Amino acid sequence: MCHTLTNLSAFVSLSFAISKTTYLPFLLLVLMYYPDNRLRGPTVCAGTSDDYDYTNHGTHLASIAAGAKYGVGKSTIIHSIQVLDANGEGTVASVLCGIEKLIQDGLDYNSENAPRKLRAVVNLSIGVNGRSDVLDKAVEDLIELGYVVVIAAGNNDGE
Amino acid sequence: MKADPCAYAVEPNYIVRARGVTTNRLGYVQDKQQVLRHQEQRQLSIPEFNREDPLPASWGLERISSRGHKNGKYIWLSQGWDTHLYVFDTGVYPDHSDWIGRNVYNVTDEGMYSIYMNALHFL
Repeated sequence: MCHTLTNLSAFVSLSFAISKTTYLPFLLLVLMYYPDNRLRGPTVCAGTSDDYDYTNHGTHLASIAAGAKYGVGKSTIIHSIQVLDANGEGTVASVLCGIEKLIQDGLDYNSENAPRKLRAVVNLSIGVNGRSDVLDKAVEDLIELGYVVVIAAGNNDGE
Repeated sequence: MKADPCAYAVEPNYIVRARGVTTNRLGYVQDKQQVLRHQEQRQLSIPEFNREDPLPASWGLERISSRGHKNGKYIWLSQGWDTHLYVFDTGVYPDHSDWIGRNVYNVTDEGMYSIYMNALHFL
């Protein structure tokens, strides 16, 4: 046992001396068996059974806003709040539910004990078939709380 | 219902639809060879400050960094380490190669966020 250990350490130090690329296979092995601690479950607001992005609309938006290659903020922390279903449809109620979740999440950051204030951008690339005063009020409240709210406009001729 | 002083407004539960196209015509077709050349030169390291995107900047991002004449470049000064982005949409694919090394949070249960540790799980 001790013999193999010394051999191993000798090999390790030797490969350190040779080059760093020797460690690439070990690194890959560690990454392959890295524990997958992701959780999947039903979403609250959209009413869908799982949180998979079936239409790729949300992934597309997130990559424009926060993608490493073609995005605006290369290292932005992404929070996905699924309010639209697999057809890209939802209701004002589901969006309001999402805004509630967002404010709940932001309370931890915006409390007096928090080390820094939350710096957050909210992306609502959705269109409502009508005028919703409740949604307007919710967005105004978000702006008052310090969130930067970005909303799609100009995609349809009615806008 | 409207007479209730607690009610802010009474309105139907409108249907909300996703907006925006899902095909990138402008940035994809435009100067494809140049994009491919930049893909070959792409480094895996974390980009430093004041870097430029590969040409041409897609999705109109050049407008962010240049006020006057558009030169096709998106030059960024900050990468937004402490900025949080909340996407109200159809969800986000957590294994996307654009956010490897970052955590993608997702609302799945009451007040609970499931964290996607974005390690190289595709290996």
